Amino acid sequence: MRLMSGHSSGRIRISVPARLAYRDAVGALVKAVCVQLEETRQARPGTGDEVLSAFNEAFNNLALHAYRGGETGAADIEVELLPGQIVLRLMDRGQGFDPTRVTPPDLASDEVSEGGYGLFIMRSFMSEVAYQRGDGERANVLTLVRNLEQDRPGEQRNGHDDVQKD
Amino acid sequence: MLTFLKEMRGSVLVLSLKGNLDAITVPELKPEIDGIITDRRTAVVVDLAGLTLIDSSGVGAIVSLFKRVRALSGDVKVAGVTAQPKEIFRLLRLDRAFDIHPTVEEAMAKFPR
Repeated sequence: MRLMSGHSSGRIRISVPARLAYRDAVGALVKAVCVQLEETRQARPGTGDEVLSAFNEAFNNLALHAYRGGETGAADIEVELLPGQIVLRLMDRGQGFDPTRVTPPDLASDEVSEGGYGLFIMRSFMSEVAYQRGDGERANVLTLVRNLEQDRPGEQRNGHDDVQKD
Repeated sequence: MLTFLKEMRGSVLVLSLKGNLDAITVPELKPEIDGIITDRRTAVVVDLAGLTLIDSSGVGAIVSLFKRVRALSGDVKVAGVTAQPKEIFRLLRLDRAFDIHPTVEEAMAKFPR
């Protein structure tokens, strides 16, 4: 996935144990791809930090919840570049964890919450967040899509969420 | 990786964090937070100038410290937030709760003498 100054495309797939200890190794790859997009001016500065923040929250959920109560399985991660987009897919074959069902924090409240920020961070930094629950044959898939022209969160929102259920 | 330093400066406890404060490292910090509460420190500055990454777990740890010190009628001020942590603080509007200052010295100056 060598990124040149024009539109880039390609896909990398990595499989690691679904443990927090493996998150930063995969995150480094995600960040490196984004930094190349910044350097080739296909993405604005800050994209790498934002996409990495979203990825970290997604991987945390997978590592902490997907195989809870059972033997730790694999986390399969795909990083795909499409014209104008970077797509992250986090897959597991455990009981899964649907972050789109988590109640968002109330940021208008004077009372600051200790938790519940993970999905909010994902939704803020990515253009689309979708979860597809698997079955015996297909994996659970959390898909994070970042449109490369996306504005800085809080300045303008152009994303949406889509939960797919079979 | 997270490194931290607790230092008394007069009556103010300065907790300096360096590296990543996230789901991986928060368990290392929790005993330090417990110690701050056990020692009944009511004037605390959290220095984040060396923090390079924070996630929702890290935010939760700082909010927890804030609430527990507040329960002792004390206060926590935050200093030196930059880079990715600054973006997370902005996104989550943490200035609702935290008195945030550019430097430790400026944060310390806000405590009553």
